[in-house]
Amino acid sequence: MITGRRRHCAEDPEFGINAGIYRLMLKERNITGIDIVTPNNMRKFAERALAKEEAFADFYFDRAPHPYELVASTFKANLGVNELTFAGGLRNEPLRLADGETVPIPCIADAEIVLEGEILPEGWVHPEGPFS
Amino acid sequence: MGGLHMNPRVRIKAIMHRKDAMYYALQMPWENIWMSAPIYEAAARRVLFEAGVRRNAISVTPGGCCHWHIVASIKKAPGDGKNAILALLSIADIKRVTIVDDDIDVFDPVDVEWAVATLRASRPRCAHCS
Repeated sequence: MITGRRRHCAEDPEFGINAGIYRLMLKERNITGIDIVTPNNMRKFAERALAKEEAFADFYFDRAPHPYELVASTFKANLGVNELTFAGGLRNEPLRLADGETVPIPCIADAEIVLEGEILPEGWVHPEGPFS
Repeated sequence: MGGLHMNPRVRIKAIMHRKDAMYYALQMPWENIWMSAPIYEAAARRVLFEAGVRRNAISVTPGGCCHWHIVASIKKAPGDGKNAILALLSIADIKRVTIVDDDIDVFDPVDVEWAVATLRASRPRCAHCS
C-alpha cells in the first residue's frame, strides 16, 4: 500500500489540475489500485476520461518537502481550482514545479520520489480492500 | 473506509527519485489525520459565516479523526443553534455536529460533554445532532 504524505495530481482538459490524496494498493509489477470510490474531483476526472475511453494521465509525488503541500491537497477546492495554489499561499511564495517525464503534468520540483502513471480505462471493476 | 471497494487500476509509467531518496511511511491511523483538521475548520468557518451565525471557536475533534465530527461554540441568537447544525452538516463527510454556548471550551471534551449532558440549550431541542 502506498498512501499518505503523497499528493496526486491529475489534469482534465476542461477543469485543469486537481490535487488530492488517494490510496494505491500494489497489485503486480507497475500495477496498483486507486481508491476513488467516494465523490471527489479525481473520480470525476477519471469518469470523464473513461467516457471517452482514454487512459487517464495521472501522477503522484511522494515525500514532498513540506506539510504545506499535504494540507493544500487535503482541501476540497471547487472543481476547476488547483489545490496546489494554496500551498504557495501558505508558504507565501510560489511552489517550485518541474516537468513530468511521461505525463503532461508538472510535479513538485523538491519532491523526494515521483511516480507517474495513468488510471487504466477499465472502470470500477477491480475489487480492493477492505480498508480499515 | 468500510468493506470491499470496486476501483480502477493504475499503470505506473515512470519512477523518479533523488539520490538516497527518503520514503516516509505513515504511522496509521493518527499521524495522517492532524492535517485534516484545519481544512475542515476552514470549511466550517465559511459555512457558519454564510449562515449568518457568529462563531466563537471551532474544533474538528481528534476523536472524530479530525475529519468527521465538528464541535462549534457560537454567540447565539434565536434559531442560530439549528442553523449552525444544518450549515455544518452540509460540509462533505461531516457525520456529527455539536453546537455549544460560547462559554464552553470546544477543545476540552469534558467541557463539551458536560454541556451536552446538562442540555443547557433546551431539553426538548437537544443541542446535539447526529
